[in-house]
Amino acid sequence: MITCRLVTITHNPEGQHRESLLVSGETLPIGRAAGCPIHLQDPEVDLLHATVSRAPDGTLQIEAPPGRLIHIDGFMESGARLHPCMCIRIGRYLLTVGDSEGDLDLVLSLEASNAVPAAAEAALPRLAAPGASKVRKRSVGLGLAAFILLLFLVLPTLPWWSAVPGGWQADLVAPFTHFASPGPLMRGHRTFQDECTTCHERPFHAVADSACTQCHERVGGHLAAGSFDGHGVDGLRCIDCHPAHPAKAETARGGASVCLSCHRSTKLGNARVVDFDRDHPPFRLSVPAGEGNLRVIHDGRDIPAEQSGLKFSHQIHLAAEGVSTPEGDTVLTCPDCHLLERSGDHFEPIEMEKSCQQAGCHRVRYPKPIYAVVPHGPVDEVMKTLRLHYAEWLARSPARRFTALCAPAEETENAARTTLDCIHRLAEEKAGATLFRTTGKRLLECALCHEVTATGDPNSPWAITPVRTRHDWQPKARFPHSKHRTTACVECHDKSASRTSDDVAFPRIDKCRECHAGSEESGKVRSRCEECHTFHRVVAGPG
Amino acid sequence: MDYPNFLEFRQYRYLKMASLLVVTVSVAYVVYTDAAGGSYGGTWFGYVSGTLAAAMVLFLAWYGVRKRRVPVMPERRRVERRGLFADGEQVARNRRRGERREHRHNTPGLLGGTLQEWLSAHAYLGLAVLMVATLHAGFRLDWNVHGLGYGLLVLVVASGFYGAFVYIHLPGALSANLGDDTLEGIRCKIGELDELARLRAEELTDEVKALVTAARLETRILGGLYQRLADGRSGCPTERAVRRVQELGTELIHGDQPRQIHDLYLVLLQKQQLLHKARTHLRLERHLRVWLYLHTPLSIGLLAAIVVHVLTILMYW
Repeated sequence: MITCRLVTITHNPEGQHRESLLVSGETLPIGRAAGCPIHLQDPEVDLLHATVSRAPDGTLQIEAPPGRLIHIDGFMESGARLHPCMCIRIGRYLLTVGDSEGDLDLVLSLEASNAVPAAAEAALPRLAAPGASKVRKRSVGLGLAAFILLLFLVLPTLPWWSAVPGGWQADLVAPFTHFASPGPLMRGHRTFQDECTTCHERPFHAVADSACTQCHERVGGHLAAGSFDGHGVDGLRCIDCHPAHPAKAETARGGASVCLSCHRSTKLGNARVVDFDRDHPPFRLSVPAGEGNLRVIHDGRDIPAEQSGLKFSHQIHLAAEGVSTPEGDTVLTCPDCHLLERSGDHFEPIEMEKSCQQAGCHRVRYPKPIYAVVPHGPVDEVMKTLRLHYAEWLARSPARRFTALCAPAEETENAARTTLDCIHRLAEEKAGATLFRTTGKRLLECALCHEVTATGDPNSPWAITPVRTRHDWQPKARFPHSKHRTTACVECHDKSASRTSDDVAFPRIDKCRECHAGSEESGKVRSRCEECHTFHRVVAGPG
Repeated sequence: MDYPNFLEFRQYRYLKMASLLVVTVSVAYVVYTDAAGGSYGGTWFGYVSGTLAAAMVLFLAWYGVRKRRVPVMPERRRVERRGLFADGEQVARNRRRGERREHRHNTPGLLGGTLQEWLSAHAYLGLAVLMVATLHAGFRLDWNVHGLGYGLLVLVVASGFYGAFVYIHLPGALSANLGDDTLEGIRCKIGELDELARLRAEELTDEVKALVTAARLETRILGGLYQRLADGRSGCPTERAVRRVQELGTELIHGDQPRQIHDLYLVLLQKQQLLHKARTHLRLERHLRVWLYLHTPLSIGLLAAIVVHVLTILMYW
C-alpha cells in the first residue's frame, strides 16, 4: 500500500493556490485515464503514462510502460527510484517529489506549466526550418493598397499640377492616365487619348462646353436660341449627347441613338420616338403651297396637291412604248431627267435645255415670220428677244410692209417712237396669240408646262407662275439617294400613272421599314436616328 | 450534438437575404436596361448599384474588424494576467479593461453580436456583391483601374469561397488525423522516440549512429517552402534513416546485431508515422490558413481600388 499526498499548485491573479489531496493504492498510476489516482488532464499525456510502485527492496519507484520513456531530472528514462527533489515532467505537468511527512509514503507536488522547458524544447523536433518566412497579411495588403493608390490615383493626376509629367507620361508605352481612362476616346479625339487635361480642365469639375467649342467653333445648338426654355433641358451639355469615351455609352444604349434620351418622351412637345422599326411617328412632308410650305403628316390620308406651278405628266413621259421625239419614239427613264448631284443626296436642277430640249423635244419657236428658238427664261427676256427679232425683221422688210404694219396715224407723230410702238405691238400680239396663249387646241407653247396669266403690264404682259420643283420634302432629314441605287426609283416614287405634277409620290415610313430596321440587329439595315436626322444647326463661319 | 455550421445559420437566413437582394437588383437591371436600352456604371442604375456594392464591400470588410472584437479565450486571458502578475496596479487596470471589453462584446451589435452570424452574412453577401458589381458594370470591363477593382473583387470572393469550403470540411479531417493527440504531444513523443533511438543506436555501427543523430537533430516536421509544397517528406533525415536501417537489417540478418537493428527500426518507424501524422495535421492547417494570405491582402487592395475608382469617376466628371 502506498499513501501519497498530492499537492496541486495553481496560479491565479490573487497569487499561488495549493490544494492537497490524499491518494493511496498498491500502485499509483499516473495518466490521462479517469481511473488514475494521479489524473493529468492533458492530451499530451497517455492514458497510462507512468506508474508509482514499490520496488522489491521497499523503496518507491516510477516506471514508464514498456517501450516508453519519461523525463526524469532532464533525462529520458524508462524508470527510476524516487527521491526527494526529483523532478518528473509529464506533458505540461511537473511532478516534484517532496520530503516524506509522518505516515505518508510520498509527497508529490503537481504544477501545470504552459511552456515547455527550454531543455526539453531543445530536444524536440522543430516545426519548421530556421528562417521560414512569416508573411504578415495586413502588411502585404497595405503595401498593395499603397501601390494601387500611387499608380492609379496619384500618378494619373500629375498632369493637372504640371505639364511636364503630362507630356512625359503620354509618351510611355502604357501611360498612367491610360489606366484611369474609362475607355478609348471617340475616333476623332484619339490624338489626345492620354492627355486627359485637354478636356478635363479642372479636377472634380465636369467637362465644360467651352472645352469642346475651342475646336468645334461652327457647331450650333440643336434648336434656335431659347427653344429649350421651359423644357427643363437648359443645362444640356455637349457630353450629354457626345460621351467622349463612347464605348460603354453606346453599349448602354444598346446601339440606340442618344436622341432617344430626350425624344423617348413627349415632354418636349415632340412626337414620341422609341425606335425606327417599332415606334416612330409618320413622316412629315413640306408640301409647297403658295409662297410657303405646308407641313403634312404622311400617314395615309390624302396629301394636299402640290402647288409647284408646273404642268407635267409623268405618265406620258414614262410610257412603256416610248414618247414621240424628233429622233423617233424614245423610252425615257427617271435618270434621263433626274440627275444625282455629286453629294449623292439631292438631284441637280432640271434645266429646259438639258432635259427637255436635248433631243429637239419642247424646242419652242417663235411664230412666223421669226422662227427663232424661244429662249427658256423669264417673260421679260422672251419678250425682249422677240422684240429684237421683230425689229430686225421690220428692218429687212420692204417699205410697203412696214407702212402697212407700222404707218403712223398722223404726220406729227415721232417716227422712232412709232416704230418702237409698232414692234412692241407686233411682238405682244404674236406672243399673245402663240407663245403665251392659254386657250385653243394643241397648247404646245409655254402654257403646255406653265401656268400663264395676263398682267396688263405693257413691259411684261404675262406672268409665269414660279416653278418650285426643286425643294426638299423633308428639309431637316438626310437621305442619300446614292445609297439606294439598287432600288428602282418607282419602288419609292411611283409616278408612272401620274398625269399631273400635283401628285405627291413620296413613300410612307412603312416603305422604308421594308429594308430598314431600328437600332437592333434584325437582318435588315440597322438604322439609328443619326442616319437621317441632323442635330446641330450649322453656324455660318467667317469663311 | 450536431451543430449547424455558419452557412446554415438560422435556417440559411443570410442566404435568403442575399438571394432576395440579388434578385431585386437583377430585376431592376432588366427593367432599366429594357427602358433605357442598356446600362453601365455611368447610368442611373449604375450609380445606384455601384453605391450599393461599395456599401456591401465596406460591410464585408468590417467583418475583419468585428472578428477581432470578440472576447478573448479564457486561456489567453489567464496568460495575459499571469504575465502582469508582479504589478498589482497593472493587473487591476487590465481587469477593468477586460470587463469593459466583455461588456462591449455582450452588447448586441448590428447583427446581434454573434460572430457566427457575422460570418454567415459575410459569406453570402460576399457572393451577392459579386453579382451586384457585375450588374453595376453592365457586363463590361476594360483594362483600367475600374476593371482592376472588379478583378480584385473576383479574386477576393473566390479565395473566400475556398476558405468557406475548407472551414466546412477540414476540421473533421483534422480531428480524424490527430485523434486524441495534439501537435505538441506528438512532438514530445517524437522527442522520446529520438532519445530511445539514440540509446538503441549506441551499440550499433557509426553509420547507424550518424543516421539516428541526423534523424534526431535535422528532422523538421515541416521544412522550407520546397518541402512544404512537397508534403514535407522530401529529403527528410528520418525517412532516410528508416530506409537505410531497413536495408541494414536485411544485410545483417545473419550478422551479430540483427535484434538491435530490428528494435531500432521499430522505433524509427513509429517516429516516421508520428511525423506523417504531424505533417498531415500541419498541411491541413495550412489549407485552413493559406487562403487568408490571398483573401486579406486582396481585400485591402480592393478597398484601395474602390477608393480610386470612385475618386477617379468624380475627378474626371
